[in-house]
Amino acid sequence: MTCPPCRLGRRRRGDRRGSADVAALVVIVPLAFGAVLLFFYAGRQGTAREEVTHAAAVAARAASMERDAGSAHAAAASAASRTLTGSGTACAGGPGVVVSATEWAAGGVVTVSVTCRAEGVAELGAPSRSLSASARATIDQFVLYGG
Amino acid sequence: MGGALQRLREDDRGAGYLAAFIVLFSVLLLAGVGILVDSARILAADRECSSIAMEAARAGANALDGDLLRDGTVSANPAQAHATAAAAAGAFVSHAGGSLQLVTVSGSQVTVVVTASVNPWFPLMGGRTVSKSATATAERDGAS
Repeated sequence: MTCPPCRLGRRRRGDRRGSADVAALVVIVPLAFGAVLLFFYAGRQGTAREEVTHAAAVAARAASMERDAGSAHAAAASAASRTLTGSGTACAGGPGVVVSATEWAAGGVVTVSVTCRAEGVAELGAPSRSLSASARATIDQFVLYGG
Repeated sequence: MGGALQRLREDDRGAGYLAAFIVLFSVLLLAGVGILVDSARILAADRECSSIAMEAARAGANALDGDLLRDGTVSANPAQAHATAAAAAGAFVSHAGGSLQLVTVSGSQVTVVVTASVNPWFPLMGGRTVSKSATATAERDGAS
């Protein structure tokens, strides 16, 4: 019997060369996979944090254009969710928006807090984290009606 | 079976290599995640500074000169604009942990510079100070 496959089979039996590499691979592959997920998680959290900060600023500006609490809240909520959706940041249950103001009149300061429950990575057991940011804007002194 | 297990137990070939690999890999992984997290925090601080500067500049540019306004000219009152912008920026940065660097008014143009320093959570990057400047001009909507 001189066929190459048979010779290969005979040599394989009892030969444990390379088994350490297999063991290493068993450890390394999940480790590398976990590393990729961890980078993914950290990256996503970082971007989400940045986007929430930006959304809060946009929402504060939108709220400062209104002159009463109700319409300001509506404007801020829609601005925040539009900004977050536009940037591809998903918030579980939608972003939470809190609007408050020193006074609803010219010169008052509007404070908007945006809270976003950013997704975690299920494969890693990484939980979703709540990110929040707040921004302030001054209500315009002069508004041009009509034009 | 018992013999094979015994052999496996006594066989320590490659064990040191694997341990070294795992240690090195973990350190690099931690470093990578640290850089990611800290750079994200710096970017977020950067954005926050820029929005604070913008809002403060806008607040300043809102302080129009009432006498000129009656004649139909939209122009900021420099002293009042400076005071308003500084007050607004001061209030905004105190909430955000930044600091107000500079408020300048030239004509109707108000410029605010805000900085914030970020201390990294991971000891890989040095602390960094981000500085953002924003300018707002008082003008009639649609016409300059």
